[in-house]
Amino acid sequence: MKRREEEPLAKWVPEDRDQRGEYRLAGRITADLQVEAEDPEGSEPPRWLRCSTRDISASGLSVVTDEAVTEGALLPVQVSIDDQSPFHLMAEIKWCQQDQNGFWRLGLSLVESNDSTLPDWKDAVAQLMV
Amino acid sequence: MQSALPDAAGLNPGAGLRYYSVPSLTLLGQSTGGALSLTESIITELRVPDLPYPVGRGDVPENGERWRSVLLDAWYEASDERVVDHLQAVDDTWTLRQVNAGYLSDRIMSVFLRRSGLHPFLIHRAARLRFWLAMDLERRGEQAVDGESALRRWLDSLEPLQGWSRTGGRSDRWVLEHLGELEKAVTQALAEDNTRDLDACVERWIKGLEQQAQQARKVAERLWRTEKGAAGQRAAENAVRAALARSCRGRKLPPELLAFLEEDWRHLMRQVALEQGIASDDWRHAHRLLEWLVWVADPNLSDQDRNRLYHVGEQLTDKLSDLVERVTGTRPEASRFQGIDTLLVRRMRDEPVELEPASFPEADPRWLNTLAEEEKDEASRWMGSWYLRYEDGQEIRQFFFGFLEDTGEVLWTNAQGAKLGLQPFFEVREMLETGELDHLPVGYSFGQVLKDTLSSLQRVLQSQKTQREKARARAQEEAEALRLQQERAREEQARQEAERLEREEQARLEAEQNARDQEEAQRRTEEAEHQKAILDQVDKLAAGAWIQIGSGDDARRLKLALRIGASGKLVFVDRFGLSREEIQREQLVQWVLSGEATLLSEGAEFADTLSRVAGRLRVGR
Repeated sequence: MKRREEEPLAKWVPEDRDQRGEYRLAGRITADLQVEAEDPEGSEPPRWLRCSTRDISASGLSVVTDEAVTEGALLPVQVSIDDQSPFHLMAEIKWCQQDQNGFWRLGLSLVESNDSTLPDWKDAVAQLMV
Repeated sequence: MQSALPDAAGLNPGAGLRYYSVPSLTLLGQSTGGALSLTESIITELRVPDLPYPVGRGDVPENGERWRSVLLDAWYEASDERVVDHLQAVDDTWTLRQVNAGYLSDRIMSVFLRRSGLHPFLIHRAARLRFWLAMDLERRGEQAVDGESALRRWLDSLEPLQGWSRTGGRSDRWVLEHLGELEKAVTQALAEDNTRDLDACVERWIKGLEQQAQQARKVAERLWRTEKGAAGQRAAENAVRAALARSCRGRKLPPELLAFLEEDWRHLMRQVALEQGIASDDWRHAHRLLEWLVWVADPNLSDQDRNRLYHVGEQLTDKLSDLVERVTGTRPEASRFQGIDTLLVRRMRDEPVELEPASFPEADPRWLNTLAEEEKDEASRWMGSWYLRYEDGQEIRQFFFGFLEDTGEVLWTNAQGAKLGLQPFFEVREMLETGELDHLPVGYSFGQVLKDTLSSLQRVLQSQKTQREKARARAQEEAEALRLQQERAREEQARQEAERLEREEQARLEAEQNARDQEEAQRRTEEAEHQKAILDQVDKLAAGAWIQIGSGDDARRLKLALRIGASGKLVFVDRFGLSREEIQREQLVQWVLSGEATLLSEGAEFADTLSRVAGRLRVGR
């Protein structure tokens, strides 16, 4: 049998470069990352990249997607939990790494913005932790 | 002679055989104790990194059939992959319960199969049961692994099979047939959610094991008795051979002695060795007497000391008889040793005797020594354990069933009463030292593994709960702080906006005031101009110019009579020079402005001038 069957889950250290020091709730939801905004003239629409989360926390997300995204980019992200209205957030791409299956793993750090629903996101995550 | 038995292989029927017994069915559910209640907590609350859990609390779309289908397909494929690998390979949403049931099944089975000590073939077949275990855990939670669960009972029952290996024998076939039956039953359980056949199959298996264990006990007892007896016989025979070989090696002896040794004395020695052992006095005497016989009979040995020859020769036959009597309980007849007697007399008389080479085959002299206590102790410690060796690339497991002290041999069995072979203990020791033989580690029962695994996951779950609580509190604090910050920012913005509006209003009011002031100033300017124009006109009034004071029926028309230049006073009279009215020039101007008086000019020219000035004033406002 392969894989780590007896890894100490309580002290799990991520393989990737995830730096969040807080607890991360493992789970999958859909997140849409706006990797290109519409052009100033409005002739080109924005481009959204669909991602699947690996885990979420109050301050960030770890996602999997099928293309690389530049580290350091500040991008809008929309996340939906259950049937709630999507959370409109702003995220900085902290790291981007390719996994063994050819997909890309990204670490997103949520950034405060007066226009974002970050407080509502934190409340929602707090509810999920219980 | 004593031979060492494994502690649990006692011949006392009540003791049972440790390596045969099957855990009592009534005990199976108790080995995890309180840990059984943990199962549900783990299934419903644990979160393992990188597994496909749902995040929200909303309902996951009904996917029971999909869940069953994935597990069944994996089962049909005889997959070696983990349950969670199969779940992750499918683009579907799984419930927390499904994911954790898969994880728990993988974890329990992997640990068990690593620690069970079972043969790799059995491991491979049992590993695939993880798919059924996952389904059952998801459906029934802790009941899937409690003492009544068919799978639990089956896995617990494997403990005695630690020594099972593929030998091609009858026990092989029985296990293989059962595995085939079990797998059919599991297929039905997975496909139809019907465990009737599975329960029945496990029940038959366990009953079969118990019967086998009872049978094995009896067979083992029989085997031990047989082997012990045979070992004694072998030891006695080999000891006699060794004694003869040692005593007669290289000697030429009279044929009558050789015949006596072969046909009589060796049998007596064998009887002594068998009944009393080679450590007994009678064995020593018999061996000694053998040596004396050879010494006396061989001229090369005894001719050198003829006095001793006479001394020994005289008593030898009696001593032979004494020994025979002690061993057999009967004094031998005198004729038994007649041939030896005759030989002894001829030797004492120094008469020539015919000699021929002694042809006793060589034998291992170790048979003349008793086993050292240390060796017995060492063998006892190793007894009752499983060992592993490889033959033609195949793993062979063998059980150290007993130690035959008579021969110093290890009796290997399959722990089911079937003999695998005999091997000198010193050889076994050498093979262990060189690595050709290895101890098989003690295996863990499924119940123990289940308990350990659940305990381990309990600690993880507790830690996660603590971390989640902290994360929850922290997230709420951060949300509250952020809202407060945003509120303050909005308030500040509103305040600044209000200030801006106020400033703009102020500016607007100032601008309006300025406009009004300018308007007033202009009006005043125009008024002043009008007033000046009227003043000019009043100053231009010549004597005889008429004015009207008042209007309507009360109007009075007066003409300028005098102008008193220094004081600016104007004297007006009526047409008759009467009703003198003295008006200051400035007063007249005010009356004209207010409409109380009208300057009546001598013609239209004067009225037009006034109307143009009045029109400018109206337009300017």
